[in-house]
Amino acid sequence: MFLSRIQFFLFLVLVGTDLPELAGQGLVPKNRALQFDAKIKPFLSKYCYDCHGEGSTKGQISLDDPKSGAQHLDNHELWLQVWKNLRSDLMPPAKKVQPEIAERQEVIHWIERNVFLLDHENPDPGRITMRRLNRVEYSHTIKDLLGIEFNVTDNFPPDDTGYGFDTIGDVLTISPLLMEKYFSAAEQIMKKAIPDEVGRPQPLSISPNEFRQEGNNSRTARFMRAGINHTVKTDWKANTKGTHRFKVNYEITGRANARNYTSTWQILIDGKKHGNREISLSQNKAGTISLDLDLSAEKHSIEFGMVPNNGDLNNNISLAVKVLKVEITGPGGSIDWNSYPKSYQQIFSAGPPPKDPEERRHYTKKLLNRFASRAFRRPVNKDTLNRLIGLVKAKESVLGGTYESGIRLALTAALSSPTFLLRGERSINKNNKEQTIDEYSLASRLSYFLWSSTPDAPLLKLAAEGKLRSNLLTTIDRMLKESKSDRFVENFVGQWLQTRDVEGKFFDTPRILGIDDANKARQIFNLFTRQDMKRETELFFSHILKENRPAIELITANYSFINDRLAKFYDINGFEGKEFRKVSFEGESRPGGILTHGSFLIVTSNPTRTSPVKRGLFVIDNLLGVPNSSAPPNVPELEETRQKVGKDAPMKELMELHRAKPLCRSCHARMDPIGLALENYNAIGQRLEKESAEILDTSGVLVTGEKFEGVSELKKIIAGPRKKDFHRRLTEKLFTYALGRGVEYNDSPVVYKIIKEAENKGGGLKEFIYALIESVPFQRRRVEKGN
Amino acid sequence: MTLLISEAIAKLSRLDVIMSSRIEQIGRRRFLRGIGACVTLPSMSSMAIETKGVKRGATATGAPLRTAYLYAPNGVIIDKWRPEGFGTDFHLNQSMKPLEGFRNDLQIVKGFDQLNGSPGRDGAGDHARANATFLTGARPLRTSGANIRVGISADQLAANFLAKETRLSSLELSCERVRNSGSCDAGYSCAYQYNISWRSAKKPMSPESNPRSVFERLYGVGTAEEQAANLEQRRAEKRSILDFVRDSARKMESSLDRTDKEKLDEYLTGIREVEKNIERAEKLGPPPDPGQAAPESGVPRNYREHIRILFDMMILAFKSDSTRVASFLIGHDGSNRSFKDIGVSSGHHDLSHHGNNQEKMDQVSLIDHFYIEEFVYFLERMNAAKDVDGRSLLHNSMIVWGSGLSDGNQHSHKDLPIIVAGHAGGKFQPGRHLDVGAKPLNNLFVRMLEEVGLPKAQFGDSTGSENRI
Repeated sequence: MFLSRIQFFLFLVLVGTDLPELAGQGLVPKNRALQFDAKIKPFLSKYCYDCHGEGSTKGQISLDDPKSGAQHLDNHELWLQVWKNLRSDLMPPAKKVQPEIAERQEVIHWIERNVFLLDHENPDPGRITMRRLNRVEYSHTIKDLLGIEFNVTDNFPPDDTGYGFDTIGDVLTISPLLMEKYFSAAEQIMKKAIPDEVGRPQPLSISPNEFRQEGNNSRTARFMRAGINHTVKTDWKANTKGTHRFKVNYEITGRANARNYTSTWQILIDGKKHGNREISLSQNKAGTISLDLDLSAEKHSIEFGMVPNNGDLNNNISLAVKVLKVEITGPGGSIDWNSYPKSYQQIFSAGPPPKDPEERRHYTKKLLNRFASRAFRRPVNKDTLNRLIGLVKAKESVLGGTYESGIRLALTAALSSPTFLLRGERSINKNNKEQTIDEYSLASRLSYFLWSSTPDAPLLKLAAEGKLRSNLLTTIDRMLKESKSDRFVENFVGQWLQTRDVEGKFFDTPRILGIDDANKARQIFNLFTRQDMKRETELFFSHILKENRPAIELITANYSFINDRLAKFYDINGFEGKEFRKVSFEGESRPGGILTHGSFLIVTSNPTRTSPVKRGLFVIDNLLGVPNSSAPPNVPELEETRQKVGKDAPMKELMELHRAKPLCRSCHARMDPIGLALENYNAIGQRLEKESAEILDTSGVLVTGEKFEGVSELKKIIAGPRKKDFHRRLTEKLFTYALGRGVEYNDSPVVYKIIKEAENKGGGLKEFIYALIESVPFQRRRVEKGN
Repeated sequence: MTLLISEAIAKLSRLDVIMSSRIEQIGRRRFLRGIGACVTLPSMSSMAIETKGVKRGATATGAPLRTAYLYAPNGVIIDKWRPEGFGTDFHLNQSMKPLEGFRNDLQIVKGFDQLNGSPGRDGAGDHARANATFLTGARPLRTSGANIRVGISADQLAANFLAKETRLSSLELSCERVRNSGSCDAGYSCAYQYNISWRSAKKPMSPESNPRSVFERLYGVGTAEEQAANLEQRRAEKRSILDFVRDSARKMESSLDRTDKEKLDEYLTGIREVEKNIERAEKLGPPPDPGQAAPESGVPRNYREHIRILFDMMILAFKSDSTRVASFLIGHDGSNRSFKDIGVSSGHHDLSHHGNNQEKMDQVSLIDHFYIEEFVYFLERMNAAKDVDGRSLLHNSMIVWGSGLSDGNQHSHKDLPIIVAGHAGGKFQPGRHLDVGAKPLNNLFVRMLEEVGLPKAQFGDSTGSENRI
């Protein structure tokens, strides 16, 4: 049979697109059916058939069903369940006979190779949908490119999230609204970066708050009482020598009892009086003081003095001056290049544009090439560069157009471009379906992972020289040392451990504390407490990461990072100092580790009470990755149970009764014991007093069989038999965040490898990062063939 | 003199600019009161309008016909919500009491379902589905991220149809300005739970929550004078940027595979939309003077204030005929917000699973009452605002208020609480409580799309047009 060219093409397309996605990439092993009969079936028969075979169909699972049983190696859904349950030791249940660890491992690997057809030596890198910058990344990128702060929260709609993170390519959609926002953002940003007024002197304003009384920090120029003899002062440095114009706007306020009172208010520069005003209620309510002064380019003191005419009356008179605004405008005429905005200097980094046309042509090209290559995260191509030059020229030639406004237009276009907003990746070998990404793409993956931002010049230089891969570890170390890596901590921990939610969650604190006085409740627990809790978890994670401490210390640490406020809230004695620092919790009643961090305890609580279910779910889902099905559609009714057993029944008893229904039990047995072990921490994260803690029974059993008493023993179990789960979950979370896609079963060879490499090197948190970055999915990508 | 409606409005807009003196630095409070009450357009009676041939999104008089979809989360306590008695002789129950003054502007409808919200084979995740099905009537694909897919929404069908008539084809609003970290509802991507408007099965229309941004979308940034200055030149600049980025996209496209091309296509669609905006702005002229300053930047901390100022923005958009289609996800389904102002400190979602505990049910009813009060706020202002034909905006509107769940405790997606407000320019017969008896909610939307001028717009699970509305 002969195929026409079109038919042949169609044939290729069909073959190309019909490749089964789920089947992994390996070939079907020829003797897998035989192996199943010889090795796997006896295993299933020995450990599983009690409930799931020979007529038993517990949970509607029958492994020897003639139509849909395990002998059907293509019954993917069934095998996925078997594999997940085996892997996390959920099956066989703790009370039943357990297979040896090696035996279990062997079956798990058999499933991966023979059912899922995974190739452990040559894993599939998986496919990442091209990611657009999310709004956090956008703001950091602009900051790092131009030194400009752009408020994305007010200007962009929130990003949708997937798999618990806001870095997921598939859900980072671009709506027409967002596109509008991108255009106007680029315009606003470039207006700030290259201001119209540049080159002309700009007024600099000093906040009235900065003027303070020596020895009494609470008095500022914002409110100067007329009845008190006092002076507030600040220092200010003039950049250029010459005539400076001072402009002070003020307002007089007072009540009737000050009607006959007067006071003299004065402004002093470098101790010398330069103007005064009579202050009284009969005066105009608002006014301005303007001064022109010749000043040298050095530090000067600016003071406001209040001299009561009727003697110092202290606070008895309600008459005062409020300074609203202090502005200083530097000398007229041409100003120093150094006083141009930072962003301007960054863009025009070769100094002011030359006058000579030929020189300027060269200058423009260099400027645009430098900026666009930074913004696009790889060298800009010649044609695009020419188009940018064209934009400068076009703008320059219209009426009122200047060279600077031309550059501004070109850079606005660059910031609106898909090459800036989308992280398109390129590969080295383009012919295979699985390709190694080029070093520029690698640089971007690294910088958006560890800095939530664009690659810096050294990273791009390494990529340009083709030396990034050969200097990978030292590069990662350098990146983690920079303060920009705090963004990784903030964003990763913010979403994995949900510290982003700590500030916004509502609590009925008086009800939780059992007091009526809302003010008192606010003194105990307020926005500062929440911010401190967030900070604690971030600093803690950051310490373990940067010191390369074992990742499991996130659970087991007997130390934390606190300040005096948090120490008081946590009831830790003998801590002083406003700055956060590392403290040992040895001998304290409150153990360390994230399970007793306020952040974790409050994000898993309800507004009025703790929720053992949510705490338990957080642990099994976020920290251990134990498979759990979601709540059934008909919701369990805790309140009905409460009505049956009486109002004062302890939570534990209530929940045991509540999960007596078989439908509920299977899942709640996984979550509740963990949450109950933490019941001696209230909804806002305080450890309850001993007396009340005694009535709280914090003992429990994990679904995998381990018994524990209270959070300290729970920590030991997680660090012991469940450490593998914790390491796997951490790896999966890092993977998802870094690569912007979900972790699927066919990624398990990669996940194993990362864990193994990290564990071989001591299990340090940084080792996980190294191993992830060196892994196949981070270094390579799968590309769909066909259009 | 005959005029097309859009030209008439453009003319009026210019008149309005001339007539109203611009008030600088007006306080936000005053600004709120100003809407509807103080600023009125000149009566239409002095202008002849040719209504023949005007089919798209207009009433019989030729005035614009507006469509609004409003979503309140987590269902209601139905016993306190549902009126007693059917037909015109019905008695409003406790939660709906505040609507008494508007009973003749409402059709309260029993019996609409969104069955694709039910678990089916997908299991838990009712809140995500309640949200995602509300305006689509389609089953959302259960995914945490890859391949999100549901269906086009009712508002976007209207928006596409009316795209050429107004400066913006639609407006999407929401009070939700952050996504919870961690996963959303039971394995569903947050995209399902925070968007009710979908421009295609895969593309949600992200809503805005910052009133200032909405205002600037409607009226531009800066004063009218600033905006008028060098307008032509700035448009030309924008076009040159568009040319540049389109060229960049073309260059980029060649190196992309299929899915990434789809992503780039989202970008290109956005570009085309920006282009159309410029064209429409040129054709339709500047919007009428809003009569007040832009609201402060940022989001009010008080929920009620936030809802109200977004309603104000919607009314501005309708009044200036900047758009004829709007949706407002007041709160996302599953929202666990507490309502301190009305003495409800537990979370809404937690309370909605009341397990028939009377105390909790009473608290949920208070929340239901709260949302109805906000609806009344909107209706009052829609009623006070005079439209071009001398009728009220409310008269010339079709407004759906509802939730994607009926009973939050049971996660029921049947017999949803639905109120249709407005007269559709006289085509509706409000003042009734009626029972349509187990019909897809999409049938209501199909009926409304007919009024917009789009006949037989079957979509999602609709089975026809609900002609009892």
